[in-house]
Amino acid sequence: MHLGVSIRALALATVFVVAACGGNQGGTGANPASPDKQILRVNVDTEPGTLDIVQQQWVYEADVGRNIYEALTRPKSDLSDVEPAAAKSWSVSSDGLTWTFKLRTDEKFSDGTAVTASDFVFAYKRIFDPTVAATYESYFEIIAGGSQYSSVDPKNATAVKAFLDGLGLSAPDAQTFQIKLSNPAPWFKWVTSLWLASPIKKADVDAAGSANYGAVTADAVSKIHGNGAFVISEVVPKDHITLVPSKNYRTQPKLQKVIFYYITDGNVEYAKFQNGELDITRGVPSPDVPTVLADPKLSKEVLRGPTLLNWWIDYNTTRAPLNNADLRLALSKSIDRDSYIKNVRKGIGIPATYFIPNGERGYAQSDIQKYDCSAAKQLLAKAKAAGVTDAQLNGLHYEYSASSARKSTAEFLQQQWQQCLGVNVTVDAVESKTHSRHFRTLDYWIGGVSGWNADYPDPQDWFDIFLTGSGNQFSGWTNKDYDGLVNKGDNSPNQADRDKAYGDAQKLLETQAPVMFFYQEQKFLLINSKVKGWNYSALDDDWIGDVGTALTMYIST
Amino acid sequence: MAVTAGAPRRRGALPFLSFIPQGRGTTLGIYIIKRLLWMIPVLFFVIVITFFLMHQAPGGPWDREGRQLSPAVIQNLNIKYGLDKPEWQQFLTYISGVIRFDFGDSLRSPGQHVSDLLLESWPYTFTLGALTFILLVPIGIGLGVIAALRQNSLVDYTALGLATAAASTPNFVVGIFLIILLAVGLNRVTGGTFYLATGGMPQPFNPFQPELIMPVITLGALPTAYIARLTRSSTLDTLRQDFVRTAWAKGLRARLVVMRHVLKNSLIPVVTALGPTFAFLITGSFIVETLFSIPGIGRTFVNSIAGRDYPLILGTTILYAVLIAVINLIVDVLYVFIDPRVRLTD
Amino acid sequence: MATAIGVAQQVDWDVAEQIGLWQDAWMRFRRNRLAVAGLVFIILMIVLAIGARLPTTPGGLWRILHLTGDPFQQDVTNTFAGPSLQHLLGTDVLGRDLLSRIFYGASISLSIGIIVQFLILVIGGSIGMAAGYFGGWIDNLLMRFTDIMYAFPDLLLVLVFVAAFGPSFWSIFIALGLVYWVGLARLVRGQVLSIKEKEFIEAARMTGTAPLKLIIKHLLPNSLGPVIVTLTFGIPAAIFTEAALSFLGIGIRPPEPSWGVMIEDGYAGIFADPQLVIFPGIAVALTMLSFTFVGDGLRDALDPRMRR
Repeated sequence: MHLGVSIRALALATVFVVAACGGNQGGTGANPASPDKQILRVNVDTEPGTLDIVQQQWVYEADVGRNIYEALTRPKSDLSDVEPAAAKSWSVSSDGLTWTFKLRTDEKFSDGTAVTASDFVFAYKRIFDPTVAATYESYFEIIAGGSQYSSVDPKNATAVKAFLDGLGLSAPDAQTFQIKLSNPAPWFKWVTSLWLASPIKKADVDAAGSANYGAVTADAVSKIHGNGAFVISEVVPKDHITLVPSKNYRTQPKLQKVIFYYITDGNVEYAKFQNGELDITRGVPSPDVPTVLADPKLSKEVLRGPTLLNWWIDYNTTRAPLNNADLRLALSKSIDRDSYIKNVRKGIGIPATYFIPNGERGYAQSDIQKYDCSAAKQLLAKAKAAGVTDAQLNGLHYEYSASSARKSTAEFLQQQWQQCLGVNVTVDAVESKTHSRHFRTLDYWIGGVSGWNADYPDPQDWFDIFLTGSGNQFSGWTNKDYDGLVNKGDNSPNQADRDKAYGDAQKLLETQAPVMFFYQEQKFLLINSKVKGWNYSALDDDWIGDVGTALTMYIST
Repeated sequence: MAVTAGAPRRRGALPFLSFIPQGRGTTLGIYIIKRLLWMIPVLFFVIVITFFLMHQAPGGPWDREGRQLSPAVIQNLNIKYGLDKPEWQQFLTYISGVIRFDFGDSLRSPGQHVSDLLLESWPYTFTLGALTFILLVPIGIGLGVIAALRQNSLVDYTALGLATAAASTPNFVVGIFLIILLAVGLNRVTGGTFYLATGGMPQPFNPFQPELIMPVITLGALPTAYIARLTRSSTLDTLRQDFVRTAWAKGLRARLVVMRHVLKNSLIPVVTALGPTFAFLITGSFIVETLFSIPGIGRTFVNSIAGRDYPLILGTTILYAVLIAVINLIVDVLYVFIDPRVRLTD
Repeated sequence: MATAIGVAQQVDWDVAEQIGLWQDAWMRFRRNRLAVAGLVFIILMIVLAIGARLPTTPGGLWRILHLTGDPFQQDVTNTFAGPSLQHLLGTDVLGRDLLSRIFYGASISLSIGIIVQFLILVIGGSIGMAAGYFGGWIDNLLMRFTDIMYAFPDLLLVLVFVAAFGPSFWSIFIALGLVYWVGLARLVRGQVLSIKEKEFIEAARMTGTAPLKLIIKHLLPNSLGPVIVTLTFGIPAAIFTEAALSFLGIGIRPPEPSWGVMIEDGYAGIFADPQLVIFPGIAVALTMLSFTFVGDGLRDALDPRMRR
């Protein structure tokens, strides 16, 4: 009993890819219900580990962080650019290195104190503080002095202070926040829109102590003061967090309460929604999709939308026979993605043979990895001519991080490779941490499903993944041409040059196939028909309209 | 030590404690104290094994799927939590902390003490587990005795059928079927006027919450079935003893007299099983807590292992070890009361 | 009581009588209709399981006879299908024939269910017996050892086990046996303790006879009941644990099915397609029921007090 119960947990424990923020067009109006009914109940899957935004890293943490804080900028609803948020305007010097943000004068923390530039300096320094060890630190290393991060000894207080003071962060006056970069980086504007780059009240950190600040305890209500539209009104550890409007925010939302629940099990979430205990789900169990679409009531509450999340299968290019690019492409071209989406995922998702997701700058439909069994066979023959043996092929393993959904994916892939190429791949299910370790140490053959969810809609966020030595690629793939193209794209101030470089890099990636592009995620969730005023953006992750939307959302009569 | 046969040679307390007046109560007292002292080496070994095994488990707290941490951040996190030191040093630090009741900070929840996290969630688990236990003991034993007395009757077969169904249905299936029937189903049938909420446990210490109905059934179905089957089987065994058969033949009054004796005899294996059952219930079920959104310790524990949250794994294991040792002690003491022939000796 | 001792002693010394005992037991077992029905069902399941793998996998004999389909052949255009002539129980998430997967799964789940119980019986039984019989510090030591084992996070143990010994089908038996013996050990110990107190043992002790033999002889009929209950409840537990374990990489590899894994997978679609959980669930339930009947029948057959 005991064992069964505890081990099964791993099947249920899921890991998420983190993403950023958004706000698009959405639900239409009706009369709002009375204020006492303005309660929105949302599922964020897991309790946040911390309320210290700087240390937050997961979607379920950002869900809370984004609503109680406001960064300098936020993505425009069409994701074409960023727009002012806590900053009312900004300017970039002609060399692209100095970014000057002018803060809003009416920006306040939830306790009524004004937000000043020094609060931003404090927060940005906290991201770099090695004793805090904020996980998003690498996103900010483009800031002058940031690249020294890895050489600072956290136990040496003077060294830490010298490092933090040497960063290109300054507050010439209370309303001006200035950032100096080490390289011109046009995509840096997106980094300033990340929720964790919001002002933090130094007094809060000092009162709690840097190590204990942000603890998710009942008294966090009086310990955390953000500058967002909402403020924490209740923390019941492991059960829920309740937000209420912040009196000191410049506009007032109609919603009087937003409650975040932590429901991990998809079936339970689905039941709770049907039972009227939840207003928005995170998804629908895929076998239930046909039922939902056929149900007269539920089908009207479906929200279907694009996301900036792509899934792929990794090949370990450092291990024979997968060091052969033709073999990798052959394997990639023998998977019928259309059938997978239609039949296994019940139509949820977009078959993808491309890297940059549809809906983001840089997206380009591509046939290079397209399902084509005869072409795949030819490529396999070519690989065999180059020395790939049958014994090697039949020794291939496909490893995945265990869950029921990924199991049927693995079995589907196995059958497809068998059918098209006659290659018998052994399927290995392993526990998540083991899988991650195998990926990091390149101790596997084929593995998946891996994916990336855009932090912000700039191709830089994506192309950096496959740079030589990048921690986020698990293929051990090295290609000098690719590295050159991506560096050009990342640093060139001219948008057309960037597009061209990234486009060429994408083609190279698809041909060399260190990964097999598989499908683009789609949102398929249920939202109570009484909930109005929401916006949906492809950048939303856990619940629709992560950012900004809670401001406009309301419950209708 | 423990409970051993009552050979007349070593009755009573230890020789060097002979100044203590001898009697059953004193013996029991000393026995309990000795068993409690035994918990120290037990705990120590549990910590040692858990500590080194947990570091052997593949992957570490900072491994994850998807977006990776940079090596510099991992290095700083290791320094922050003392994971950069050699394992034996970490172990000594931990043990010296435990002696001072300091169980360290959770790796997943920065700034939170392990002891606070456990104190937060265990009340929920305990209330649910203890309530289930209090309900399942009379139901399980009652069903078992009735089934044994009416062997091969309809009652017997019904009890057997229920037991089989409960044991061969995993509890996540039991739970979701209950939700489908009592929550979603009732809601639809009654048009939303009467149904059970699918989860939550608003008050940690209150056993009288309608929210607990489904979790208690889900959690208790299997152990109740087990206890019922065990009671039935062991009662049947006792009923076959010669003295019982003779008494049985003598008529109703004798039966009543004997019944008490039968029960006492047949409850020995049941009491043995009740110990682990109680331990199982109050250490929390990950499945039940997940299905019914109960912020209990079962989830905490499983998530700590899945997340390699080392201090939380150790803290929960220590709590479990103490609970189990205490429960087993209680069971062993109960033997004395159920079976007077069993005596506590050194 | 006197009768009981007499029987036991005769068995020991008289081979002819021993044969008589087993014959007698078999006769009494045969009279128990439920026990026979259970035995027949178990044999049937074993035949079905063998037939699902022989003469050729996949599908085996049953596929050749067109009774079932191929347990591995996917037909993704026909997923979650209901029962039909072609697929008697319908199809699963990838359109595979459910009945053939249940038969194939029987071969895995039955062997796990039975072998693990055997391991538990050996480990738990001997530790419990030793603790109960020797008493004193041996008992104390063994029982504290069970305390440690019980408190110990089994999930961790298994994770490390897999890491150390690599994923293999046999490691599942060892892992399960290592984890589950504790309850049985305590149960057997309790039984030994209470038998030790019986008058005839005291008598034997006083006359200087080694009581161990007597205890074993009396332990068998006296505690067979609770032990059988524990072991039969262990069968579904082992089957479901195997399912959980296969997610860690021990146990069976996808796409091979076992009953536990089938239920686990079916859970994802329990609202829309509960049959994917119910059919393998019925297989587990019937198997457990059969073992219960056989176990009860065995106990009655082996109990000397029931002899006429």
